[in-house]
Amino acid sequence: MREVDLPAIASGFLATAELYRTAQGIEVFADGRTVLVLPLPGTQELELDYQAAGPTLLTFGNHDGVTEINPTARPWRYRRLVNGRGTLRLDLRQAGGFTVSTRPYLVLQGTGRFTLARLRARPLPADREAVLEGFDRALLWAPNAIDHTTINLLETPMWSASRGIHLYAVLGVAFLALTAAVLLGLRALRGRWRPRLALAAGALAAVAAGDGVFLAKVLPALDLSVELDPEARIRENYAFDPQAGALAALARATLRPDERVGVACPSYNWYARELFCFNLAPRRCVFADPGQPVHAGLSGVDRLRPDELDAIVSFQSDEPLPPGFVRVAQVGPRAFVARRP
Amino acid sequence: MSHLLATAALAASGYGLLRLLGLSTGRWTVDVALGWLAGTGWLAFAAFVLRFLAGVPYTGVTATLVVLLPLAALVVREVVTRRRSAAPAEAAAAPGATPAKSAAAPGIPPTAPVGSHPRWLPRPAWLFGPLAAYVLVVAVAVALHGINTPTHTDDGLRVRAFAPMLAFADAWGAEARSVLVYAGPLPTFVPSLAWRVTGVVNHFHVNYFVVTGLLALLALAVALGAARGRPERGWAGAFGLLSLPLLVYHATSTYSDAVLAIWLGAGFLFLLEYGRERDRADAGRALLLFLAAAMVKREGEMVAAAAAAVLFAQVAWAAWAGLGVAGGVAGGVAGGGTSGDAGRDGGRSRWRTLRWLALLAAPYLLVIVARVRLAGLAGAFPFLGFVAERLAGAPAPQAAGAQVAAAPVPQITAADALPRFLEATFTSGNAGLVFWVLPAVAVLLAPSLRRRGLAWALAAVALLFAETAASALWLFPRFTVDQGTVHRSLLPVSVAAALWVAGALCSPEPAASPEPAPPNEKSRRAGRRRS
Repeated sequence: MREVDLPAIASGFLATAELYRTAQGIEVFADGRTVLVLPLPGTQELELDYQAAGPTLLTFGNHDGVTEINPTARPWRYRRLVNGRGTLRLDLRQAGGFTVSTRPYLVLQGTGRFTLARLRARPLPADREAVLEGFDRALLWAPNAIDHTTINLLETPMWSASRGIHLYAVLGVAFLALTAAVLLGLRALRGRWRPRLALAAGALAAVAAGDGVFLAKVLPALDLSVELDPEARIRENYAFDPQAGALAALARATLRPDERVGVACPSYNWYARELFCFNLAPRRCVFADPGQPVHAGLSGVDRLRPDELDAIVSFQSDEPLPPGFVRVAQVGPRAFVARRP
Repeated sequence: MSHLLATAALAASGYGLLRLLGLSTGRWTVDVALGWLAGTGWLAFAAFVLRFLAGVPYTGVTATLVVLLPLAALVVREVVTRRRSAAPAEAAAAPGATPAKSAAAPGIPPTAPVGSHPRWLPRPAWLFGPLAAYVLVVAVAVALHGINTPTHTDDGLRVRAFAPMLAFADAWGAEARSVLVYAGPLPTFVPSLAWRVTGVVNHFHVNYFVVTGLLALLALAVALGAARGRPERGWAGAFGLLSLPLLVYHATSTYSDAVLAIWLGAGFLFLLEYGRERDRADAGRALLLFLAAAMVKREGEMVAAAAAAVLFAQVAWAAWAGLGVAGGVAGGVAGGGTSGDAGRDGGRSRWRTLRWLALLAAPYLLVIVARVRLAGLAGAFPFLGFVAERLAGAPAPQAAGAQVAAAPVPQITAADALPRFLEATFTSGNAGLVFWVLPAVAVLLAPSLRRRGLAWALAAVALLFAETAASALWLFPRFTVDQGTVHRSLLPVSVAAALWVAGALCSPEPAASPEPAPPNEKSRRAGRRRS
């Protein structure tokens, strides 16, 4: 890893928010989604020291300078930032769209100050074969990127991503070859066919290899802590939207069970909208979209008129609060709970 | 804590039901897991039918009474039986206990008799030790991640984990009914049990329910193998299940595909056992669990029907062929059926098991009626509607919203979907290697499959696979191309295939002597010769 001279490259940053050079490093105040593109083409790994305040998610990826950045595109590589100081190591080869000429990007999602204190980078090797070999190895052992759609399919493990060879194609052929070899070997040695033994040997070896890779990829992606308090799990464990999780927990703690809740959140952010109403159940809850005479809730089950709402959970909304509502609790300036006094 | 109490209550309730039906195994290790799985099915069945046929509100009292009913009925029966059984001979017949097997399939060594100690440790230890370690590590990881992770998927938030909250509220407007039909009675009513009784909603009960389901399936596989004297089969089955990566991940979510696969897999374990030992109690257990699986998602009935159809066909074939039937249902409500009854009682009694199974399945008609009442005929069985439309020549359903798109959406055909389907099956890794191993095992062990009692179970796997392929290629090719459902839809058949492979590789070698043709077969051959 080489130390990157941050002040020297600061002018090359592309960002969707104002950047500040301070004694601590490069600073940005994230509100919603903030994108930073680093002027470091030809980098395979980054290690960054940071300081963060508030629940923030950092997504990293590779930008080709043309395609619009979609941080949640598969494989979605993200890290939850801890409050205070921290260090992250990011393998850019494991993120989508990596090429020798792409630039790394960071996307901050949440609310709060983020300071990039120090940055170290590992450049790509000069040898093309070494680049491809490293790329294949990085993707083979990349932790599973869990997102909203992982429920539909896990990332396909690649034996050689550069050549498009699936791991399980290799293991399947290995299973067949090993089974045939054991079958013929036993026939030659013992003079009789032992298909069950050959199948068991072939299957066990191939499946165990697959399971080994699966475990290596999935265990780092799982939350294996022991947390007995359900409220803490809601607050802390919404892995890919920590701010929404924190607000959901805050709203649960703030609102009475009989209060009727409207969620003010842009419709494109379906995840947060649904997350709030789900976690506030069995309270009555609807999506308080502006201009609607009647608001509907999850799956259209509940319906409330605007004047029936007792409380508002507002998240990343640009809409003003309806008259008569005041903030009573907040996670950030645009993540708060309001109710009628 | 309330989830643990609800789990214990459901296990006890299910055990009571099994005892009433003469389906408890006499092994508490098996009966605890089996009891919980059956108890969930009972709660879902009774709550759904009571609510939507009888109009009984789903309250804490209702839920408690439903759970207690099998236990109360069991106690009443015990009391009545004890009073009647003054004679020593009658007293010796313990209700609900399954008699020792006496008519195993030809060539299969007898299993451990009930009453002897099960063998828990598989041999050789150097081979099965790492397998068992893998099972334990993955099971713990699934449990922790599953418990820790709040519901985080669109369908989970809107439907799968939301449906139990509707059961808690017990307010069933049109939209709520639609959610219930999507989710199915079992994932709707079971997680809400503790909420209804305590009045407190803990969102994570949905997670606990799914995790408990997987653990119950693993425990059942291992305990059943041990109880039948083949712990290797049990541990290999558990290893096979946890070598299905997407199943492992699904069990950590609040989605329902793993739930369907788990209950189907539990039934499949007993389908395998019935194939080996032809113990009619195993057929009954398999059927009960298939009926429970049918109450998961809209697709549950289609999937479970395929497995149940093979079970009925197997039983019918055994009756037609005049093969002996082991294991009666002593004291069961259906009555009748003792070891080797077919041989002793002549032609009529051969069909007794089939009739008994039909009787066992009959109450499910109430679920169907309730579902139709809930959602109308088309809404209750949407897949039949899709199939009918496709058969009538309509194009395959396209993506949601396609009908309002400005530009025409190109029609996606089976040919477009086939590469994705093959990838999902063989190389994506979501199903592990099970579809590589399955055909190889089926081909190489084909000569002995019938003797080992594995042929019918293989037919069930084939039917499930055919159903899944038809759905992926013919009915919904678009969701195969975009990978929206194809991997998930393979979960039930993957689970069945994994258990079948484990059973095939860990079954004892059949006896060297060829299987004698069944009497009917002999007489048919003789008849053909005569003619």
